[in-house]
Amino acid sequence: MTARAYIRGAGTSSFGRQPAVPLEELVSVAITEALDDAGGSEFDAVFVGTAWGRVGTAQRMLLAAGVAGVPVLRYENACASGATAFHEAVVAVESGRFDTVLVLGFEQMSTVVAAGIPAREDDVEGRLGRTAAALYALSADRYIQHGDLTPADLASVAVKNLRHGAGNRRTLGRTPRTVEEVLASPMVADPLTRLQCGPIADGAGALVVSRNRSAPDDVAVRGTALHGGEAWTDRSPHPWGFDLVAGTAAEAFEQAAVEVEDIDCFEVHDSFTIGEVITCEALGLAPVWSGQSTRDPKHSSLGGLQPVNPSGGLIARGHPLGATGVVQLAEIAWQLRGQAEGHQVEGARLGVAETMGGGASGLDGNACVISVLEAGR
Amino acid sequence: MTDVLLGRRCVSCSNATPNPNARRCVDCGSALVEASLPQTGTVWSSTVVHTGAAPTGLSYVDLAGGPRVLARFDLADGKPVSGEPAVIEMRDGLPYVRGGAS
Repeated sequence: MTARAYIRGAGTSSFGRQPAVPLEELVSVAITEALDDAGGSEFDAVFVGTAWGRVGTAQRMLLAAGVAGVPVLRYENACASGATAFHEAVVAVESGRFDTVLVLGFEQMSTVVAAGIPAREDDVEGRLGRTAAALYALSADRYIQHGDLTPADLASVAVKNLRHGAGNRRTLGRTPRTVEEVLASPMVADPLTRLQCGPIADGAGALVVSRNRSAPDDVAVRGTALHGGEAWTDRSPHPWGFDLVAGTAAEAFEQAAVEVEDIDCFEVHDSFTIGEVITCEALGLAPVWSGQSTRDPKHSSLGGLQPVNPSGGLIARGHPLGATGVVQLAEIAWQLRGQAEGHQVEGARLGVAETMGGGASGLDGNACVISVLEAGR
Repeated sequence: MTDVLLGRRCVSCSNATPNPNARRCVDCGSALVEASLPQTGTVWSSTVVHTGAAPTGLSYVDLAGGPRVLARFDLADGKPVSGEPAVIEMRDGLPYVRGGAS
């Protein structure tokens, strides 16, 4: 199987609320680790994902990290901004536009939002008070009423991911919790409690993406797909985002010539617990509306057949929007190189990263990016 | 303030949207014009958002003949249950669900 591109290096900052740390510091740490990991500091362009960053933020951050004199392209796709930058970098090196692209994602959430992604006055649903949590909560309520899912099933997703996160030194949520503790945490938008929501976090991630392999353990990009959501209306029989994730997965899996059963580990977009449930079903790990993925922890936990979010996911790491997709991809790259200290999926050879961006009301999602990565050796 | 739930409807295929600023139909590309939307339908799901100044009830309601719209509900009326019939009424220019609570 030929690769579309290779990931030669990966790096991230630590994650958590760190409003006193300059964003430049987080970005610089991620870039330095990625370039050291790649064994070289040459690249032809920087593709940046950030959602909240102001005009010129990308160039300002890069200059402070010692990077200048190359084209900088910035992508905004809400939560999928960083994953979009990666997808575009793969397309750019594959097409010959650039040989090597530095992909960077960052966000300092703690300085721009108080508790969660707020409702927007310029959005038809936002003006009624529909926050990001509310959008997911509305699907969660539908699942509980019409699907096969209980509040305790939902909470078990957070329990799994917080347990995984306890083994990840880069992550914010290092405290394992019980189902009872998750359910007893303050209600954000019912049925979603605080511990079922990816916390506000600051962080950065970087990847070196190249057309050619330079070392035997460079990770191969076998497939990557970027889709935009269709209008989401009463004509869809599915929960919000399902059709978008399923369509994106179908393209990525076809490119990579894999079936979901072939995949050894997944990092998926669990900004809220229900997001992981919908995503697992859209990827084909369980039937839609079944909630089954939450009741088979032996399958989806570390040590199981197909661990989901072995890093702890967004529930443990937090969700710095632009960084999220890049970090998910870095986590899969480390898994495939056997370097995911404390949360390694033994023998992983194929991994999938899925990032979902949403918020524009009436759309099934702003963007979804799904990538299939393969170990180099 | 109107008592009517206003949206936009396609002049060609009748597809409707609650977005007052939408100008072209996402299905067929034809023009959208202001139109009143049906005010009866079925509750798709409901939640109470606890992160604002006061708790806010929100429901998706599938209007008879479409589309799916978001509406508030008064917490004193109870939480509209998915699958139950509901009526939309306007209060201070905002859509509210009446009925549907168990």
